Amino acid sequence: MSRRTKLLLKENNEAENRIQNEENESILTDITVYIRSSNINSYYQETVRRDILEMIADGEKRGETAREIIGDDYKLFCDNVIAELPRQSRKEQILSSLRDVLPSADILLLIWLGFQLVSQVNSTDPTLYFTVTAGNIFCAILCIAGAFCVVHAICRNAFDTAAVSGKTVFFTVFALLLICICANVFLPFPLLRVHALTAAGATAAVFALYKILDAKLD
Amino acid sequence: MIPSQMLKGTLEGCVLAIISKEETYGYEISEQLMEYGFGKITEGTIYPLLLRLEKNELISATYKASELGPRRKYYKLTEKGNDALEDFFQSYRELSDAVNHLMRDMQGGIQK
Repeated sequence: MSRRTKLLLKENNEAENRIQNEENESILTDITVYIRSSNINSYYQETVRRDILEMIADGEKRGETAREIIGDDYKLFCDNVIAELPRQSRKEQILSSLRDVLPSADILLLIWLGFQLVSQVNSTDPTLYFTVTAGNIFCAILCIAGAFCVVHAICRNAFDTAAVSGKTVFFTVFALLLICICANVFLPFPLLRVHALTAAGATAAVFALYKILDAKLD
Repeated sequence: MIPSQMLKGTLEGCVLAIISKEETYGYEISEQLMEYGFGKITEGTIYPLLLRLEKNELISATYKASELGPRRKYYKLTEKGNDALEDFFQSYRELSDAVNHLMRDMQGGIQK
């Protein structure tokens, strides 16, 4: 995220505290979440978030609710706003998705590295070469893809909470975790062996790539 | 009440006209539209339209502090916006003349 976007994000997060009415606050959150799921870069997302936030704060001072300010159909309002903002190009979209995926991949790498180190410490014949199994790769892809699908579904249905209930999310996450455990148990086929330092270097490289992309995009 | 479909094509020009009078903000535009007889048009309807006008460089926007506290986004017309407003009035006159002509003809027909 560029410096100007970070500043705007910080400013908006602080300004959000000015909204007093709980219902208005909740509507603003839904609007923000819905706009975040669109193919618009973060800077424009924060720009319209600021406009809408100030619009609601100003209306609140006049004693109006978000419904009176925006109208009854929040989704239509958001769709109309999104339609007027510049879309990200295919390249920007791919790089943004990659930027969003990298931190999750890095955390998974760190967890895997931690597990490998612990198992080697407890092993009778410890080694610094770790085996990457088919189950590990399958599990990592499933975790990242699953998490993104769940987040996307929640964001796209911000105005229709019945469409993605808490129960649905819980059971989906539970099912994903179960599949991951099964994959690690039933797919133990080794794909490659890496040295601990190589794995640590890869973790650092993924983080560095994330930081570079984050600074360049938006 | 003016049907929304009929309003759709003219609202952009009318908003431009209101902004051309003086630098103004969303809520004030909505209030002025009401005073002119357009009915209740929420800021939620006007905001995407203002974004489009800004994107097309017909208006420019600046944030200013308000007496109520929250900052307001004030809009003013650009040179390009002025030209667009003239075009809108010209097109609207043509449309209005055509519809009036038709209505006069119809009324004449009915009287006969």
